[in-house]
Amino acid sequence: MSHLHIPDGIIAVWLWILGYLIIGIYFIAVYFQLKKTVEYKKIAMISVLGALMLLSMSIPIPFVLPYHLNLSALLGILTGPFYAGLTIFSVNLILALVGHGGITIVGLNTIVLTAEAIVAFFLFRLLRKSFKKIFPVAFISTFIALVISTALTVGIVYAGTQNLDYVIHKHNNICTDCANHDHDNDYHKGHEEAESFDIKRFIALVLITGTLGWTLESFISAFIINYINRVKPDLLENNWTY
Amino acid sequence: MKITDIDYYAEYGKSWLNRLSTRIKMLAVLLVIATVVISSDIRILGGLYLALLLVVTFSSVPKLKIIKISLYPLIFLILFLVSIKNIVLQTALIFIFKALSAATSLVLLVFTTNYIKIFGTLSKIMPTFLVNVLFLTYRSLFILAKTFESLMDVLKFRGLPAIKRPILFLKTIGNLVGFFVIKSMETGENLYDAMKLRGYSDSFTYLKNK
Repeated sequence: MSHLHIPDGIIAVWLWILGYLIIGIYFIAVYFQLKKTVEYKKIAMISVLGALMLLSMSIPIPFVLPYHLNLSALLGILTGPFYAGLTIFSVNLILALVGHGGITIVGLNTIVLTAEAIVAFFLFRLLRKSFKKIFPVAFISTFIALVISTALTVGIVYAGTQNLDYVIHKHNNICTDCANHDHDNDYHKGHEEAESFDIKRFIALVLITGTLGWTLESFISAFIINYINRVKPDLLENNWTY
Repeated sequence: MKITDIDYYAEYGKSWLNRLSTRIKMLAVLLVIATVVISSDIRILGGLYLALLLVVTFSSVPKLKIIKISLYPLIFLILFLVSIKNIVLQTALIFIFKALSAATSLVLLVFTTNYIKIFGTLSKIMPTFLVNVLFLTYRSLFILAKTFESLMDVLKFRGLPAIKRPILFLKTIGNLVGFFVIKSMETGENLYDAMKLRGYSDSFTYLKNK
């Protein structure tokens, strides 16, 4: 639930365009960074991790609801905050091409998941100084990152659907000259009960489905990092990407 | 449905859609997306979805697979529609047609177009480094798929711990993905070495020729 599976045509146009603009600015920064460092190895590593994310999503985790892994927090911990967005964008675009989330939402989705990766990266580095064991550090970093990115998701959905009339242009079809109507008549009594997006209901649904998802993802990410720490700890040092 | 299976249909499919120019198909998808974003007329959106279903029906493409994948957006849409107070059938149908039309057009594109052609067309409008990442991510899927399938076979033969023991269950999955991460990083290193040996500087020449 930490990322948007929203199909096309639901989120307000201005919001998803803004999402693409922000991602565009990020790409300009990446372009200049790559030009400066000429580190094309990062392109290969980032791409392989993208493929890893896509494949790991197909591992079935049948806990009440069929969940799938997201691994953005893990990606942030492994690659650092700067290049994680590039992997996340390519994963989101490929997923959108197979109908998993709208193509117009790719920019916003990249922002949400990159935020998750950034939070996980900094929390992991911060907590590692205070805790001896890596498992709780990875668990807490992932869990908090997931909560923050889900909050961002809810905020985006709320901002993008706050005025449903704007999204479906319904108001124009029903009431073409509202200014001339008597606002006490029956028509407008019905109109007051017009469709509206209930954010509280949405948050409740997200919390019901999300809480279990955050816990599962955090446990799995912590076990993954624990395994990497035992077998190849240098991968967690972030000396090639930051 | 695996992405590697979709690629098989895109590469070896014999439908008239497979033979159609990639640019035309991508323009058609763009048109569908624009209609979905701009229009809120149930007749236009319903007509659009019907037209797409007719295209699926009258092409020798894997119809059921395409329709099944394109229905995926409905899972989130239900969550969204339940959150709308006083929702009427017309509004629900508008959103359903929007979601299904966009998804069907995109799924049709990837089922009938080789990924090299898609990324080749994208390379004309996107920065090179981004197209390279997309191309390599997609390519790496096939390289890693073999390792991944072997790991899934190991999991199947050894048996996953029962869900009744959730921590052990999650630990097994975690260790499996952890191993997969290490293998993937090694694959990334090898991939870069191979690219370097073949003279990679900052772009793939054959993507530009597509």
